[in-house]
Amino acid sequence: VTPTTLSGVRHLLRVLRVSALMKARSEHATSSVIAGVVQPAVFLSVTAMAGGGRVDTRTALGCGLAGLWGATVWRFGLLLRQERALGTLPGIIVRPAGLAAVLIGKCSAAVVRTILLIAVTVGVFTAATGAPIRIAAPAPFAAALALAIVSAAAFGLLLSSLFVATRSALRIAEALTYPVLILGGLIVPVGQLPVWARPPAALISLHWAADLLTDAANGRSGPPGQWSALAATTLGYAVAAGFALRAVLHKARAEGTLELV
Amino acid sequence: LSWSDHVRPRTFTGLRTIAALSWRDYLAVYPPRVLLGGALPRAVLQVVFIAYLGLLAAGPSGRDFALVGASAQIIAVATVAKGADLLLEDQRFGTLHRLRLARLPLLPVLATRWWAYAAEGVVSALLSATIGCLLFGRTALLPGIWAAAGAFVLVAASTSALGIVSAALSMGRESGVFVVNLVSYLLLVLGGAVAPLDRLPGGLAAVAHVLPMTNGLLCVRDVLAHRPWFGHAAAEAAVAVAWFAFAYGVLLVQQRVARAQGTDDRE
Repeated sequence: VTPTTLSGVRHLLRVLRVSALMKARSEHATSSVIAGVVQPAVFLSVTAMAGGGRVDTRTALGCGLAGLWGATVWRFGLLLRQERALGTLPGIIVRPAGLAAVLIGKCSAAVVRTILLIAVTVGVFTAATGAPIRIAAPAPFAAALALAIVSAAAFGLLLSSLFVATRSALRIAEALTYPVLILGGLIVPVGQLPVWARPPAALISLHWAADLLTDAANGRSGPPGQWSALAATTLGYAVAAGFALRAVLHKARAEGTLELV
Repeated sequence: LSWSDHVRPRTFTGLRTIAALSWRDYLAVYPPRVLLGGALPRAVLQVVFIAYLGLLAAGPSGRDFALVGASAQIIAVATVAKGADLLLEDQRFGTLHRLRLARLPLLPVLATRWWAYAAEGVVSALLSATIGCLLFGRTALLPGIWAAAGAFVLVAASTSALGIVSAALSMGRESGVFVVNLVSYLLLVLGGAVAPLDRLPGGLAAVAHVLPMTNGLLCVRDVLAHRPWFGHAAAEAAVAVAWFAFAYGVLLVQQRVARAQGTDDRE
């Protein structure tokens, strides 16, 4: 490892930290509350009331992941559009730190905030209804949760790059939320869906995360195939996000058309 | 000039113009490709998802219960969460004072402008219920749901009043979008959409009856069960009138505050 490489890594970490801090400080108090508190709490409440007062571990964790998915679409997916609306996008692009590092830093702040809110909501709700979630295998649970978070952030970056290139971003976000909640089997197991609607779940990383988190909560580490599937879908999202970001940079630098969308 | 000679024709002409402009405004935001590709599929998928939650929690009967409830609640997504943009954007774009200076009071102007969102809500509800019934093989529910279309219209009216109140109370706050989304989600819990009202904790069931949608949804369930439905329909209409009266009061107070403190210009 050369001193130049070390200096580059240190610089990158500083950019990530500063971007995350800026995002955390500039957010309104209610940001992430819909995805982190309201959505999981509403899904938990209606399921518990309809089912006699309690929800099982799988459903509770699924409601949390549903909140994470909502945040992926509505919070992380709209990051680049917010930068453009604020007029800060060109400034970020021309600086040596680069767009990807700043976006990942900002996305991390939003992810941490959302995850904390979800954890508190699901924890308090399940405890209040007399069926608190107990994590029997904490290490696999933490690993699956970490992968789920990275996956959500990667997909959010992909969406962000796509949303900035279209005027219909909000409408697309609107249409994108529920197909994943249904087909991904986050709350409702895929086995409940018609046979023809089951295959797309394999492409949704949060589907694998839901299975692994439930297994870990019940004391199992989950089959290797599921870990591989979660890692592979996450990697796929990250690679696609990388290509999409390059396309955004091309539109901004070579064509100069990003502001015209 | 008497009311019949001058004021009434001008008022009706004005409201007709507002309704026509509102429709054009709506189509500018939601052109047919966006409606068909985004808004309506979202409505259908949300209802199907909630129905699956009902299935997960309480089996096939819970699914049917939630399917009907979610179809009514989807109206609030149009009339509360989306419709609120009418007022919030007027304030954002600095055009609200023009409405305040108009000859017509603000509430009838807003209520008339809301009609496109109310229509979207009713269409979304009927379409979602129909597709949901077909998807789950519950076509036996369809005649009852379509027979209860009038109750969905009542729900659209009452939730429009709630949407006006929510938007008015959100104006000038960064949390405006948060508030209208929160209200829409709360109706899903408190309105008896997924679970019967007697499952609500404490005195919340009593509160639920003064909220828009609750009685209208009970009316739909009455029609489906071939029970007398008029009582719940009348209750929903009364709730709608009460919420419009509340909206009138909120807008009146807000107008006075806006004149005295310039709050319309606050960002």
